[in-house]
Amino acid sequence: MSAEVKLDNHNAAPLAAHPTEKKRPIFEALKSMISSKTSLIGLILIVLLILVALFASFLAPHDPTQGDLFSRYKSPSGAHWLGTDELGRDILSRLIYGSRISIQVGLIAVGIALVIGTFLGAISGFFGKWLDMLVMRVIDILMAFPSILLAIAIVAVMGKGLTNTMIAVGIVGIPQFARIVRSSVLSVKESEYIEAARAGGARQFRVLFRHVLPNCMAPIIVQTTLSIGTAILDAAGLSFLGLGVQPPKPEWGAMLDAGRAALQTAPWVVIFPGLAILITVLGFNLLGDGLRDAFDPRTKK
Amino acid sequence: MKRKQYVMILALIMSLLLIATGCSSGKDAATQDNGNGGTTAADNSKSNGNKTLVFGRGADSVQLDPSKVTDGESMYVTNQIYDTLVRYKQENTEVKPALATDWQTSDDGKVWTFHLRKAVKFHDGTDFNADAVVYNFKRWTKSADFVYYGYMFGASKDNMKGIISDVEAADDYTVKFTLSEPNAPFLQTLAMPPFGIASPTAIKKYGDNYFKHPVGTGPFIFDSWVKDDKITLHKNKEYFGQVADVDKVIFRVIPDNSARFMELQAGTIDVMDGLNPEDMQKVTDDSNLKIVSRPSMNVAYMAMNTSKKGPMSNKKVRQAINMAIDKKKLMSLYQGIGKEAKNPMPPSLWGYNDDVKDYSYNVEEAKKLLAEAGYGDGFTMNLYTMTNPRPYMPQPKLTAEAIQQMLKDVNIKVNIVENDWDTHLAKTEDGEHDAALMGWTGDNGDPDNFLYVLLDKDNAKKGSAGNIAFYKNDQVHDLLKKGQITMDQNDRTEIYKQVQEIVHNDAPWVPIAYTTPPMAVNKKVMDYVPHPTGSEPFNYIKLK
Amino acid sequence: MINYIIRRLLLLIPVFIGVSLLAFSLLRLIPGDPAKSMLGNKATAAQLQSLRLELGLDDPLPVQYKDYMEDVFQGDLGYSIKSHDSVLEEISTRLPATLELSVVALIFAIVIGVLAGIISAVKRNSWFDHVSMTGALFGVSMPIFWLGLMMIWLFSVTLHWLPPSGRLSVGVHLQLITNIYLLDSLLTGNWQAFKDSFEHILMPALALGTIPMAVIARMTRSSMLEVLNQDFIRTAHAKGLAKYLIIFQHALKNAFLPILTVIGSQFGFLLGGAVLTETIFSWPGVGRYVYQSILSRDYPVVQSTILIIAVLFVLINLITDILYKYFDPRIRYD
Repeated sequence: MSAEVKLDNHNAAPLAAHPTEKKRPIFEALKSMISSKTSLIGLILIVLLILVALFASFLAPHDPTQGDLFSRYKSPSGAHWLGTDELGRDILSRLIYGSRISIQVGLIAVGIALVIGTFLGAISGFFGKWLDMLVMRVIDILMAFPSILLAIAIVAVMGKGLTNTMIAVGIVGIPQFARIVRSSVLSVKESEYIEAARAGGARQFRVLFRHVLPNCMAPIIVQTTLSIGTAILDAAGLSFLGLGVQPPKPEWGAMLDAGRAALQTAPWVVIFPGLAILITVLGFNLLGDGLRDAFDPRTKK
Repeated sequence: MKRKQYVMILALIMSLLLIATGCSSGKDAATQDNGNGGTTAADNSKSNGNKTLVFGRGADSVQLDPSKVTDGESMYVTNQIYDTLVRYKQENTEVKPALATDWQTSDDGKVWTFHLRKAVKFHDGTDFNADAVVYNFKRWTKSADFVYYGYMFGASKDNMKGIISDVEAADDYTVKFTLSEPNAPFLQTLAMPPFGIASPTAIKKYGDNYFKHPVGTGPFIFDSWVKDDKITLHKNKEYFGQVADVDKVIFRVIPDNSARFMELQAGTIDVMDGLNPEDMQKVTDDSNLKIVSRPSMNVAYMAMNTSKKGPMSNKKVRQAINMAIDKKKLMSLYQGIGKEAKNPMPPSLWGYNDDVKDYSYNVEEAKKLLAEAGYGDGFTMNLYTMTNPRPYMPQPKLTAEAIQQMLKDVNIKVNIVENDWDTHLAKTEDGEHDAALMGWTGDNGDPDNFLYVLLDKDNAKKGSAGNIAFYKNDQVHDLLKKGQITMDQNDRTEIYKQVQEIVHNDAPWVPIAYTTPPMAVNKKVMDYVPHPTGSEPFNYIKLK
Repeated sequence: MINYIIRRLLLLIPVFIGVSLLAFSLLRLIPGDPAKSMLGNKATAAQLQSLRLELGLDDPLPVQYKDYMEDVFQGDLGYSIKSHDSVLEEISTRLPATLELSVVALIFAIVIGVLAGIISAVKRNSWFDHVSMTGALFGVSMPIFWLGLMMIWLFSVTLHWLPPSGRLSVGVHLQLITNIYLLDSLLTGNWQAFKDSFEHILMPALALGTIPMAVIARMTRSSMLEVLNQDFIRTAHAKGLAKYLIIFQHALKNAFLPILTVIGSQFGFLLGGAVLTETIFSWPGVGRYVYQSILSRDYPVVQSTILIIAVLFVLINLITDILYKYFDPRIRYD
């Protein structure tokens, strides 16, 4: 489900194309980002999410894994604000604890994609020739599969569970990073400044990691933020299919799946986890959009 | 790009929008008028009547040749198309004449003679006779594909015939079976739908593709099969038994339980299998629908792997776990379709031992037993479960999670390992588990089909275990073996009662529930009588 | 141009080899015994062994791969372990269902997305712009499996407007030609079937099309804005051309290319998203089929289906790339 991400390939190259002509400090970008209303909303949503995750044990009114079988599918009330689920557990508490899993999945999966994808893209773009050819073919192969299908296959091989879900979603995200970093590196490495460093006899890897990559940070940061949203969506999709996070962990996608059987009689079991996913992903997308606009000189008013 | 192209695009947009708006104003999504509305029929229905019964179910049939498959969804359909030598009565597992009108056993129980019904024709017009029966039995022993044959008649690769050493046609309408040893459930077994008699001509004609062109003698004739969508049958007007009231039967695949239920509510299907327990109340509230319960001939249980070193091999631990599980609470997951179980076979079967007193729920007593066994501080165990609902366990995931919560109270930490049904079977048969949720639906209404299959040491071989508790008790084994060759039912009852007592004490299982699986049925469907074995012929059903 | 296409086609060869190798080996690693899943829990060890021999499951992996590829090049995609039917036949009934769903979803996405994008760009900062762009933001963040369930809850459970599952109602008859129901009903002039299958496809296609729709709307808006600000549009305005003519003839023409790329990239998303959508709406397509086959380790099915999906996906990308080159005057075909 890496839908919106692909859109950014289009913008990534141009904004990395002028890295040296006007070095835009990250602070300035952040400032202009906060001044935009939408990205501020995104930032607030994410900060709230992190706070909820951090203070889950204070905020949650009930134990998220213990329930009473005699009070299954109770509708929202004073005792259970969002009702109870199929095992009589408090849905609000499960949503609150579930935020931890979502953040964890988002960060670690994207971390995997970021590290491997950036490395592959960087060496591919920087060294070119056969290495570029090889890496790009591997990327082509990965991209020949619809991402969710590839993730399903990987999980099917490695087994279900939180760790493997993160790995699968991470692997699926690698091509995006590799392509974006490669195209940025390609344009940056032609600049006079880098040519000078290479001519000055600096070691290749040193030039790449010290001088080239730092100049590609803008698209990487934007891609990272947007990817977290996508990763959370993908992981929730996997859990919804029963392949991701396993019970009794309160993962949002898995909660949705478990609640499906009662769609007619207890819709709240389905409604709230979906809203939680939607709002979280929305937060990351807003923030990512804001960052992109802030980094991109063209959209500056 | 030319202007013309834009005009085209615009036109397309407009027409789509028009259709979209026109459509959302429509009222009833599904109309059930038959034949007259549509121009041409995809299926080549040969009957002129218009009483159609639509049966909604969760999965498609695998093959329509019962000698190649084991899944219930295939059997449901083949049970309409084929007849067996004898059939079960409509409401229980007593047998009645079908393709055979009467039969005799020799005194030693080794020779069975069946007299066949005359003037019966297969759907392809060929004659049913003794040669056809012999042909089918010979065919079944030619490949190892027929799982039920191997399993019911003890056939193996080296002995493809199993206990049936010979089948011969004494005359045109008499068949003689010679068994290598007496077999008490033999007649019961012959009534199982897998042993349906197929047309030899059709088998030869279609070869490897026979399973897509089934031809039997049954109350319904095969029309067409759209994979993963529907199978259509029409009635056999020349059926020797009760000719069906419905003209046409459609088996429709709707994998999701909730979606299937919505189709039932909308009136697009008439009967549904696999109702979510959550939706039971909705059925009762709906004036058009009713619940029809399948009589109970099953048991759901948690098997504990007695062959594993550690806590599970300790009888006291197993008894403690029996006490730590609150079955009354578990029953709330069954929404009224389940009864607490205490024996490894259901009370609807003869030989059930009602004198066994179940372990009662008692956390303190369980803790004491665990301490005596040396596990006072608890331990960690895994619990294998399947993702797919089963007739005896409508909510396996939730059942596992509930047990996980309950055992936490006696300091046992449970890790749930969830697999789809096939994988679950493979893994538990390999003995990977500490404990596993499982269940069994009886095949032929004989206690042997529960106790021997599920608890005898013969069936505790890794890789193909029916006895996934790997429970090995020689006394039980001797009793069960004796039960198989004893022909007198009273003597057998005593044997099986004794077995249940021993098993209760050794506690290789936590018996969980006997269920009456519910089917939701439109009220216009009358006289629908579900059979305990899991499928029933539809020729008795009446449509209003 | 021809050279470009040939070069691109040559580049596909390593991709196909890699894809087939990946599909093949991934599944061999899945734990579990396919022979057992085929015969069920009542099979004896001997029965299992003879089936394994029959399927060649005990051969070394390279041999199995070689055999498989030879078969594929002869047009034999193998037999399903579960159903015994040829994979080609199994797929040929399901692929049209998935293509129908994806194409209708894409049509919804393009029509609604492009329209919303254009209007938003032309009426920048109007209420319509704000509403549709907020909608688009929610759209790109949407868990479509949840959206699907919500639609069912609203339109099927509560309002009883639309059928919750399947492709066609039972009582409705349709002569099948292509297995694409909407097309077949048009070809046979069967309006009842057309209406019925349209009602069935409406919800799943909208759910599946939501994310692409949102992406396309945003993309259209931003490319249109860029173009609308350019000199030649202002000149056109100054010349007094009718407003809709300006928009459609000039502006959309220039915004067309970036939109084309998005559409191409979204098709892959649609094929993947079909797994979730088809599961929720009981749509008998290839997405749900491959997912179920993975779970039941039906090797031949998964291998060949994944191969076909990947080939399809790669070809669609190729076509969009070629179209892009064809329509973009700035790019020369080297």
